[in-house]
Amino acid sequence: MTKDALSLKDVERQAYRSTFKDGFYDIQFGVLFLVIALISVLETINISRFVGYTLFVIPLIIPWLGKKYITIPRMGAVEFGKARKMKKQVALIIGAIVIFLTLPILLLIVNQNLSGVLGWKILVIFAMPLFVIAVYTTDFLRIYIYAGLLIAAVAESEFLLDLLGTPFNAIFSFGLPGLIISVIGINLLIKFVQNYPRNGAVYVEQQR
Amino acid sequence: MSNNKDNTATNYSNIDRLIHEPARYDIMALLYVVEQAEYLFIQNHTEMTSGNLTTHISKLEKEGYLSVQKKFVRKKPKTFLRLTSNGRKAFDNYRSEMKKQISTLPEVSNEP
Repeated sequence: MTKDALSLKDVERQAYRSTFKDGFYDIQFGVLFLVIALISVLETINISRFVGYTLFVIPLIIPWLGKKYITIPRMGAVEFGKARKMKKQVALIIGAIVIFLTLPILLLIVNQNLSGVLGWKILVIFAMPLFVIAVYTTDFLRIYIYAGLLIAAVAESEFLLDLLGTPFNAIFSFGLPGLIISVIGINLLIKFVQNYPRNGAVYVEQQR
Repeated sequence: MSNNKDNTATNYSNIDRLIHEPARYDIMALLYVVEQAEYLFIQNHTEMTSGNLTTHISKLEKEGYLSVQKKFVRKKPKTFLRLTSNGRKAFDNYRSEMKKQISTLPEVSNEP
């Protein structure tokens, strides 16, 4: 019996992280980047910002639908312990605080009282520390990279604004990484579907 | 010398043989760190065949270490497993006993 075999924290962490194997959170972030780029394109062709903002629903529902109809039927359902539940509750509270604090800024952008790039910059800088704390509580390490990419994309879009103008700055700075992240997520999803076939095991009680 | 042998034999007898089997240890360890898990989840993580897993689950259930609950989720039968309080206690005892046993082992020298 090795030391590793006795480390229950590792067993728990491994089991919890296996729920991220499906790639849905990666797809969610990829789509989030793509939606930001798409909003910029829609604004250029004079389609209302409100139409664009409704697209944010897509990245929100992707993991929920994916987990319900693809992941759980293939991998099986699991309910984690109290410590994990507590972490999840903390993440939810932080998420609610982020929404509460950033909503006024979002409303200012929608009402065009803040210029697009400046508004997004404030929004991202404001949300980032709380966002990182929320990421820590979920133990999904790849989000650290995506959070870093989001900061880089905001800076890049500002830099490219003078060079390329709108919406090409957003397409390059948000659309391109969004596409790459989505492809990574889809790749993970394909592997997951191949590794976990739908007709999984059924428990048959033994004759005693 | 014979006394030492006797002591060792007595110490080993404290180890729960039911949990000591690697496959059952995996099942118990996984269920210990979660509230409850579906049979399919356990099978995916332990990578056991259905028959093998069912046999081990039956043994643990018979001993009162885990409870098997069948539910219908969206009209489909699902089997959920969870450790009983007896099971948790037995697993705690097993771990502390194993740690005790390992700590009494002599240091191994890398020299030939």
